[in-house]
Amino acid sequence: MFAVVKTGGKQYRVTPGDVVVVEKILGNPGDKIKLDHVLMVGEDGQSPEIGSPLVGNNVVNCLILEQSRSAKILVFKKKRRKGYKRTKGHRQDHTVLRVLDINGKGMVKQKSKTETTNKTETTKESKPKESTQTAAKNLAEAPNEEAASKKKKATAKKKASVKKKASTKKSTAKKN
Amino acid sequence: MARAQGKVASRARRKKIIARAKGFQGRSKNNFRLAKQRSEKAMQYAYRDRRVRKRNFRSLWIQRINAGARLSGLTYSQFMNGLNKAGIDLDRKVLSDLAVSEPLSFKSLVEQAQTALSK
Repeated sequence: MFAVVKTGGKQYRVTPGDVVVVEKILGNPGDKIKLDHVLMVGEDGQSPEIGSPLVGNNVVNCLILEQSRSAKILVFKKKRRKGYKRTKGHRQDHTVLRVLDINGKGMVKQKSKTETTNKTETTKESKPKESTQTAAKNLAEAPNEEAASKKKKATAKKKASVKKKASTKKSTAKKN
Repeated sequence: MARAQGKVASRARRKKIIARAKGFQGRSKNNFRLAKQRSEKAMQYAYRDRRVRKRNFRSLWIQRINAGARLSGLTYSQFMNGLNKAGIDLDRKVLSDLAVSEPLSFKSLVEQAQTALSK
């Protein structure tokens, strides 16, 4: 089953268990939020409910996995022969959500939750990031090409950032 | 007082630009003067193409929606007009996604557009 939900000025087609990166929503990691701007709900073997524009009383329940920022973009502007040159870095704030269910249906069992509570703090910190990566990978294998390619890029960037962090940690450890 | 030397700062400044030009063709990746020109131009293209990318994707989505709608006997413009009249507010990204991966859901959208048009 899937739902089309609008947040941050963009529409997303989500299914329970998905991890989606959306424009920033206020809240702390671990909080549950409801997205109530639902435009369409589809279920397997049934004709979809299509809102005009909204499907009333429908809610997509989500869990905030992390509040993070995108990879840095260098905004560079230049006018030739006019001595005009501007460089500016930009990182967009975004929120990583896990879709739990649509109207209480399609719940996905989460093994990782129980695992993380048993383990130490350090693994707790690293766990959610890993899970987002794997989930994003699964999404990337979906047939939708452009979404997949975008997500692949995102995962690649995330990997790079994680690697960087890892390397810096190593270097600090060496110094000590 | 000892004289401050500029070479450390100069080297760091140039290395930064050479690093940005990694993978460029010919001398552009080794020669500072060319690397600076090419990497600046590259960043100008990147700025422009972040905007162009949005247009390109939109036109790709429109092509896919058109193909999907024609399977059910409507053209793209008729289909979008019908959706408007039916008050359906799905964007083109989602519509094209449905057309590719949820053909049955997309077909019911086309039917709704058709009924809205015939009223």
